[in-house]
Amino acid sequence: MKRPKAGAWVPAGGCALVATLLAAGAIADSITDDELSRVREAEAARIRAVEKVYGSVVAIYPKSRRGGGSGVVIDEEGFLLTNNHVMQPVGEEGLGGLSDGKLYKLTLVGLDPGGDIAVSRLHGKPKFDCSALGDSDTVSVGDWCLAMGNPFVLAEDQKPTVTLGVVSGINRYQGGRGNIGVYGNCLQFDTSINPGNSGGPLYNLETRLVGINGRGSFEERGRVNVGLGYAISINQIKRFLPDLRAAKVCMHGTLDATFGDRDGKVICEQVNLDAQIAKLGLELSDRLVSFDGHPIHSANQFASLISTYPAKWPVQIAFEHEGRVRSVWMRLRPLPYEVPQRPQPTPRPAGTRPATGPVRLPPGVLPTTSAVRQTKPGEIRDMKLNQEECERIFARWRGFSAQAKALGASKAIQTNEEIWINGAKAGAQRVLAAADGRFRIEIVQAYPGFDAGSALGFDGAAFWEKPADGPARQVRDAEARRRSEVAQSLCLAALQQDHPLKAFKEVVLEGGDRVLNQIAFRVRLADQAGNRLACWLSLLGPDGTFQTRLLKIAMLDGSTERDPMWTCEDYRPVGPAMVAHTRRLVKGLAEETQLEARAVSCQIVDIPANAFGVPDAPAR
Amino acid sequence: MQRQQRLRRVGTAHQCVIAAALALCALRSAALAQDEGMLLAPKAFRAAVERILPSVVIIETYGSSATPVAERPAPGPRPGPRPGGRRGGGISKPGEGPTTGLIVSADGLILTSTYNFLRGQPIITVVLRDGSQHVAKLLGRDETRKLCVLKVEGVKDLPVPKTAGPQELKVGQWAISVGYGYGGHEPAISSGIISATRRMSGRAVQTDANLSPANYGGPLIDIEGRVLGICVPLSPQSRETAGGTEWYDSGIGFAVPVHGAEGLIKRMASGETIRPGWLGIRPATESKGEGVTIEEVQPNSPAAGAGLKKGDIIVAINGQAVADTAALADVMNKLAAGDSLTLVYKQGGEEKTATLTLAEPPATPVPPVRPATTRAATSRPVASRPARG
Amino acid sequence: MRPLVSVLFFACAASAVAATTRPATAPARSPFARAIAYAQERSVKIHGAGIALEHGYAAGTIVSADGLILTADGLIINTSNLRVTLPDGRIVGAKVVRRSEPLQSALLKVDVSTPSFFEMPDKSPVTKGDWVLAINNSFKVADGAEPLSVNMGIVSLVADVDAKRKVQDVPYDGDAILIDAITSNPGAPGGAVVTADGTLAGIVGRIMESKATNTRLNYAVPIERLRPFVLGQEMIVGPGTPKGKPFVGIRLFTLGGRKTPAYIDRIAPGSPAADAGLLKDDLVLAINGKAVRDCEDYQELEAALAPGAPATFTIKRKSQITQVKLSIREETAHATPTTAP
Repeated sequence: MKRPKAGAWVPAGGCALVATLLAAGAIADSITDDELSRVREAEAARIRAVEKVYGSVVAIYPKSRRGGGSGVVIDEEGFLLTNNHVMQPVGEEGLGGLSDGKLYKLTLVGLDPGGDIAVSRLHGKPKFDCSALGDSDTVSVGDWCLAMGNPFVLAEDQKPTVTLGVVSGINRYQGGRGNIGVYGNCLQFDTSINPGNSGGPLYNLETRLVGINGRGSFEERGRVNVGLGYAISINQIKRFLPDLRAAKVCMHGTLDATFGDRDGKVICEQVNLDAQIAKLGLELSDRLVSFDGHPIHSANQFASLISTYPAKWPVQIAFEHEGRVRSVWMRLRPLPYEVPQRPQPTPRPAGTRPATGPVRLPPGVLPTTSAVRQTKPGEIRDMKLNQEECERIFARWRGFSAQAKALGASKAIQTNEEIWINGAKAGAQRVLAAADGRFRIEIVQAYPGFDAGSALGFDGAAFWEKPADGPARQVRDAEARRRSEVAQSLCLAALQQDHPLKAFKEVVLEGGDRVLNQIAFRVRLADQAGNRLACWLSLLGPDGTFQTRLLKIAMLDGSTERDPMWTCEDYRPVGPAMVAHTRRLVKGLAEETQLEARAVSCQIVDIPANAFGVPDAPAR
Repeated sequence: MQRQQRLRRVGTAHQCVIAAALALCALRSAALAQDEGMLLAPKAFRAAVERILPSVVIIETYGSSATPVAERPAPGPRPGPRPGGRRGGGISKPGEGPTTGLIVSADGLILTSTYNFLRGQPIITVVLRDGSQHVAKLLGRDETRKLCVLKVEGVKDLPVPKTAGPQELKVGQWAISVGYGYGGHEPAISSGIISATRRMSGRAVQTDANLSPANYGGPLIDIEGRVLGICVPLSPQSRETAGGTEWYDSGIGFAVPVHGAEGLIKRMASGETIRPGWLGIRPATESKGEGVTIEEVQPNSPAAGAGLKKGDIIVAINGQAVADTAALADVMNKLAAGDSLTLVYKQGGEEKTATLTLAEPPATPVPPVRPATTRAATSRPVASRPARG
Repeated sequence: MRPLVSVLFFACAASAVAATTRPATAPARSPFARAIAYAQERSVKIHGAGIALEHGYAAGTIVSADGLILTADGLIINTSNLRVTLPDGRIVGAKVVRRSEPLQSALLKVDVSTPSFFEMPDKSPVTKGDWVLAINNSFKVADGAEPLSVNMGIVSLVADVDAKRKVQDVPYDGDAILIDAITSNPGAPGGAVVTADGTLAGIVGRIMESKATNTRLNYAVPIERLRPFVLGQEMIVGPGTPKGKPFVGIRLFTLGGRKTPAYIDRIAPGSPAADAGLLKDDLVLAINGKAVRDCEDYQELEAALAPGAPATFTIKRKSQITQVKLSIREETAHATPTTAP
């Protein structure tokens, strides 16, 4: 048996084993007992893996039961992922079959026509089996992958069809029509999928969800699989999940500029002068260097990559202008959907892709069926669903932080913080905070804007501040609420309540955003007086499971991008509660640190008498 | 004393470190073991195939009838989309090669697929593993499963293979198809997994191993060499003998379990032809979920004989509620010609019951063969389109 | 002594931790990963003539350091504008060096050095059941420098294939490696088919259908057959010494048509068939192991017999099947012709 050219190959670990095994095989091919037991174990492990996720695969049907697709439940409350094109014929309500043989009511939540994804929900069980999200960036060609779904509606008993194959390609591109149904940076695999598999899961052998299956290459043999299937990557879907769960019709992002390959470089060929990127300095013939941290080496690679980003997503872009590389931050502009009036023009020559040009279209209407309520792209389809999702997010945050439960009415969190500015320790303060929003901050060591010995607080009714030398004075509500510490504590307090929606005049889940390099829900709150706040809560925890942590809080008064915002980082347990041990005051999309407050000690204490009241105030 | 204590503590620390290192090594070796188990699978495939081969026969047939065998497409509900769309791909006519069968009795009963006799060949022979060729007779067939039974005379002590029962059948396990359809003395094999354990109204298991004329009639085996089923071209859209062949290479294939099929084999061996049962109604395609509305009652059918009329709503069959056409198809697919049926239906607001016997479907002319056409080679969405009419 | 041992233990543990520390969601790398990377460095994309239903793109496999590329034969290479995209993305022109009809393959050459190439084994590195990875560019999914696609399957069978392409026969001659990965797609022919450790086993063949099953064949042309073709060492099979027409002495019963079984209607007295004891109403099932399904098969196989060489006829008489040896003679003016009117 010929081995590959020496020097080009360094077998290590498993590969040396492969070579040995195969060499042994060439000599005497009967399988030993030990080898057979390994084969059986690997088979048994795969059977167990299938059993683990079997219950989360959904067979999706319109109410008429004509045709169907697939989906996968990703959270215990029944929220599932599927394709936009599966939900189009289903509409607002349909049916979902699970492996228990039963059909459940299925309702539509959010749509992403650009990326061909939808989120829907099953009803009728207190707890649904669900699948954990994986990391599609770790998928490589040759990895085993399992597809599950309902091809040709074969599942009379709702039990999904399971197929096995390998990943055939990554970062593939399958174009859509009019910016709808674009599969950018998608996964290609030879695991068999057929009509009916749309919207179903693609798992790695560890049963992590790495993609949603949606397309296949079909040709002369009609619409049956011939070894090429495509799935939208789970990492793309994660960026859109907050918008989808907010019951929005999602839009994708664009730079409003097009690029082409020239002499091995990626050069700007067209740029809309009104575009943000033009205002930040991009001109024709500038070379695109990197996008969101990814070095760009071809125009096609860039087009594929940017198609996976939501509108308004903050990204960092580096480009070379007259020999110097500039790095800018901006939010992507929404890419409008086109409604083609005529069939597509003549096919493009090999090696080119349709340009992502700024084509405008008549406002409003997506090519949806009348079964789906017409919603303008970028807007919220159903405010009631949106608010229910807010409740859910806040409940998960309360569960994670456990502060209200830990503190009750008689305790508070006491923290000693060091204040750091520009990498040097600049001051210190002591903070006492109750679950209902009452707080007191005492400046121990002075830092810019705050004298040692000064203090500020909120007693539940009024705000006060006390200078180092002088009496405390009450601060007007309106003025107080513009201070970011106040905003923060009010927000935190509000979210700890059982019914935060009742405390605020307006609560809206605006959609998704990226903060602290994590995918987050962005919530807008307005109190009875009309003061507006925004807060960001994480979508996923560090291990990839759903976990809601409060990440950032901001006042919404004027330009949101320039106002300072407080981050909440480095959560650590304090008793039964989880408390952020680092808070930074940041500015801009780049989240540049203005000031950092680090907790050096943090504990739960009984609230002393008059802890939050105005100091030295006469007893009432 | 102190030093001893210190050493003991260090010893414990050592143990913890070793335990941790071993645990991590175990994790890594678990991943490696999984890789090994997959890489070694071909050896297990070969061993399993070796075990079944003595029971697998080559079917060589001679001559063919001048016209294709008349097909009997069964009328009745057809839920779901057509694979291949309107201009479906598929095999235009059977190939010229030999086909495959499986020994099911020591005295020469062979189980195989009706697909293998589409050309209406008058002379059937079977070649055993020892190379000897014997004349065989086709005794009976089950058209609902596309199976048939041959008998070879003058043989004894033929090796009957082990079969795997339902408790040994799990989604995700290896499945290997074996067939002689390409010709020669060595079979072609294809490996895949079990995709579903119960399909086609409980008649078949589903696999993503490549099933095609190369192995129709041959066995689908597990990693131990036990028979999971006989490979056949089944399809929910069509009862024609060749219906389902469009799925060759697609990763959707069906095998009819042999375990528990003794009764069926006996019936076929006694010369019986089991045909799908014909009721004689055309259902309305849309249903509100309360039952199946009858769009048309075919003349001279069991339904007509029982007094069913257009507009009636079928509510239950043999005690099973029938909410829509999918449920109706599921019930009907389990029944064969000659089976009796108790039907509950609503006629003009009144609920009535009828008992009838299913007949054999009437013969209809063979539909013309459509040639495969070319299409633009771009990918398409994999949602299934709603069935037409 | 002890402290040293402690250090070693800690070092081991630390390396074990380091070796296994990876994000919780990262699975182990596929055991095929190296073979795939190796193969993709040695695979190219080919663009040529696309005429009517023939697609103008295919894959190719680099087999020498000086730019020799193997691919499948087809209309695609009938052009002066044959272009190859190298693994690094450069596009260069290619020329056809030679073609092989029995292998339905073509050897191309590019004028650049290709230091990463496949060794060609002189013996088959695969047996039935082995994992194989087929590098391909089905449907031209890979553009520019993007890596080619990989489809995985096992070796189904190594066998002679009798093939056709839609309407006409394809003159592929000899063994092919049939696999169960799907390679019968436009853009796949010419791609490398490698084993799990990266050894080249074959080249994805031109799209053909099997006459035996009337299905598309997923197969590779075995590399040990392509090696002499690449090295220019093909054996030229001449037309051979002209031989006379064979004389067997059987006339078939053909009133039922050409597709009826080959029943013997008449045996010429003194003929090889008569000498061997064949009788009227015997049914000829095979000649030299090749199935005689009908009268048409019989005529074809009988015409290919060589006078002077013995031939084994498989005969069915009533329910008995036996093999009979015939001594084939050469047809002379006095012999009765075998073809029925």
